[in-house]
Amino acid sequence: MHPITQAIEQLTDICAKYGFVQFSGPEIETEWHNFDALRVSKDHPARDAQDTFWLGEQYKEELASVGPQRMLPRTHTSGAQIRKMMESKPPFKIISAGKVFRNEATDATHEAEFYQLEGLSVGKNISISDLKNTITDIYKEFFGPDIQVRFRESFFPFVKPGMEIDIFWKDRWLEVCGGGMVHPEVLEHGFKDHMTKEEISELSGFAFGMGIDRLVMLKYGIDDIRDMYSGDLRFSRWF
Amino acid sequence: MYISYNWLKSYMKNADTAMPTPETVSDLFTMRAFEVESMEEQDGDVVYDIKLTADRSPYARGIRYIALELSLLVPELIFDPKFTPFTKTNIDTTTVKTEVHSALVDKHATALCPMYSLTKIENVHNGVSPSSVIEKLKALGQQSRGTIVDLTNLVMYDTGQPLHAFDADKVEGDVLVAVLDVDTEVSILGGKKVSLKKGMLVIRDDKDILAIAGVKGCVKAEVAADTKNIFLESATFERVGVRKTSRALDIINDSSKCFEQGVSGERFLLGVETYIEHIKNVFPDAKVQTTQVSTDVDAAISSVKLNTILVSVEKMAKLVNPEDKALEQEFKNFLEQTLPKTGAVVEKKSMDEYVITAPLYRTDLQTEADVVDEFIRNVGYEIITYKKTEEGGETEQGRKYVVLKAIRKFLTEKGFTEVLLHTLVDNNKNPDAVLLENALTSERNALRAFLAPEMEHAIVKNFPYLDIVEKTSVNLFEIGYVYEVVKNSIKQKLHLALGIGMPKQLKKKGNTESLTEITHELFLGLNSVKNRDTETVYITEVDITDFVETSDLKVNETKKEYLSPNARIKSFPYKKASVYPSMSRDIAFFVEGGDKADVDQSIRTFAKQDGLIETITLFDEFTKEDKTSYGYRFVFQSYEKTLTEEEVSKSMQQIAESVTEKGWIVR
Repeated sequence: MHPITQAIEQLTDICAKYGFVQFSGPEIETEWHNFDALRVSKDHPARDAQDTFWLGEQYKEELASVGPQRMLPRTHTSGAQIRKMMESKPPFKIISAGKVFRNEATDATHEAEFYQLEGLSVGKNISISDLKNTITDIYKEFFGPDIQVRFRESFFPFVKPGMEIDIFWKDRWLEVCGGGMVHPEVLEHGFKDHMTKEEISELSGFAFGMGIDRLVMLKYGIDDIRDMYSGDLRFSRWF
Repeated sequence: MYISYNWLKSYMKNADTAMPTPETVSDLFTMRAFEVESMEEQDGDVVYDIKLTADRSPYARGIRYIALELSLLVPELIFDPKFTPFTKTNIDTTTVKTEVHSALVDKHATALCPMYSLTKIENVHNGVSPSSVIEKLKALGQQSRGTIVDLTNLVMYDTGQPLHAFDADKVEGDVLVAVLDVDTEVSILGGKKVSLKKGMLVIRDDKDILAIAGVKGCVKAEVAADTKNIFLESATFERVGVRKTSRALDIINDSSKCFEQGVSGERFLLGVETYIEHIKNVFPDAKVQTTQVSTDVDAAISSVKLNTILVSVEKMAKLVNPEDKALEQEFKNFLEQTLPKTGAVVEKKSMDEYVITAPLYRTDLQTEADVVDEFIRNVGYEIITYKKTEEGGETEQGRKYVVLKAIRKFLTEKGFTEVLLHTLVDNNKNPDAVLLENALTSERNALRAFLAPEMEHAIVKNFPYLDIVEKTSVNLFEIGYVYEVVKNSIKQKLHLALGIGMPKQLKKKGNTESLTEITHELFLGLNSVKNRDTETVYITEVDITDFVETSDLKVNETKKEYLSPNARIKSFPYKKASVYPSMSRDIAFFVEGGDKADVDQSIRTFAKQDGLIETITLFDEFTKEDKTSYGYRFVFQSYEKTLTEEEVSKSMQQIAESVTEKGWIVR
């Protein structure tokens, strides 16, 4: 099986032990799900055409609450967070894996389409320690019990506090994951149609997102991301 | 953003005794504040390239604020308060005298320029800067351009407020910030001509353009060797406007980067004040006029309502780690001792509650979540001790995931290889594909409508590699999303494509029938939505969008064992495919009597002596009377070059000789 699929299945099995189930979000998203609801500001450079692919103005989707929205091939799997919140009552724990798109030139380490795995846990009394423990558990199981994992202060608009997660791999620290506590405004955006303000204020949650390609490349020593999407049997025969 | 270790030191009262080593500073920043992307020693200094996060950039752009952050992370360090007046706005203690001149900014430009200030300074000249100034700029990779200009740069790096100096005697009439109403060509500093577009924000006098706002000065009022009097500009330009102009003109510099990230509105006066302080040090006779401002500063201050944040220590400690009972005390220490150092006012309301009033310049400190962030940043994520999460048994996955897993397993067992091909495709080759507004390249300009076109391409591409992968046909499958336009909206569908390809004899072997059988077995007759049927390739594609939501397909698997990664790396034979072509050669020979295993081992030993053979396949075997014929195929592959006919023939000859020596007869 394709190494990306294998990694997704393995990560799914690992996360299932801690109560996470797969939830699938669409590859084509509305601007609201992909950016607005996640607090990516209107003037954020990520929305520029040099970073994000856009579908023509003629394709617009009506969102009852916010009006017509431009459509785009999603730039991350985080829109699935919002979709899950909008359709379910907490507590829940989901992971969502799939293809994402960035408008960037391709080379050995960059592809314009690649895979991400998103995690989200929402409920009462979800803490930063839950996030740290869960991420550490995942990497210990995926890369072996001796893997060193470290957490660094960072920023993503949809979490607060935010962090970047590195693993120690072949004598250096490598960034493999971003995460943090779901920003209260994001909880508000996700739950406002079916929960009261007071109920929402009692919630907390954590979210994380990792690039699957990178994990696979590290694990198997693959040095060119494009090999994975080549359909070349000389690549596939090893997996 | 570049910062220097020596600059950081210069803001501390007790740097000699309390300043940590450059390495420690780097580690502290990376883990708790701003990622250090590089660190370089340079003439007795250490220069860091740090990445500011978007939320903290408007506040922390300015080395003095980075130094302040460092002093929070190293409790022994004492930040010299003269560098940041710790009052609510940074403005209410300023020594700068101002008067309102609303005519400075055209009424159509106020949105792009909320604040503009000009300070006339007389009796200065653009001579050689003091060596301390030259050194400081050199550390950040900046050349010295004379005192007047150097000090604008120095203050920008120090405070995060970009400044610009105009030669006051070259300005004709009044200075005005305005939006260009026609396309205009100007000469910018350095002499290059650029074409400005209508709608860009500029600074102009009665006759000419003096500067492209926030981006670049023009030649007109350039500070030169004979300059005696200057107008110092300190302003707030709206970030998106600066970004668009700077990108359109392809002029990106430290000033444009500052504005792009957002310069907090009250900072312009700090820039003016700091510049005046420096210029008076160099030119004690300099005469500083009252600063003209486009908006009333005092009124702005009195209308500022600082945000107050009510926090509960118990709640915050629980959000970090409910199992750590010592955290509440840590939190209280942080609120009472560390947070006030940032300029925040912290009031204790009860045993559990505190009210925090953050200073205006801390745009990143506005909510309870921000306070938790500030705390975690200060103590580090190490404060949370890892504890393995209890496993709750395997959670059952939803139907779609289970069905897809079962399909993949079934097809893999049938000898199909899973591929993941591009969603972004060439719409010339995929006429139904959905066009993107902005294409990656002309070959990847649309979203696929079917999987089959890319799969056909992949199958044919694999034909030359069949020998090397020891297969006689290319059998691929892909499961992926495809798109269709239905009445101005985009429909996402999940497709499965199955393909078989053979360079020859595809039809004879009845492969297409087996493919139809497989799809029938899987989907109980789901109709294909796309077929591709050529001499060498057969592909069938089905829409499984609904199927995966309703099917009862399941994998009955025993627990899957994943190899530990280290074991895998060691034993795993993954080898990157060669970029050079391979060559296949066959040999057949008769063996009288003899054991098959022995023959096979011998052949492999012979082949091994030749480092160029990648795979060995027994493709033919038959027995006639007491003799058995074996047919072997060798694939020659170099990873360094294209092999020549001679090299391969020579190797084959040697193998043939070894076979003959064994007493076997080459056919």
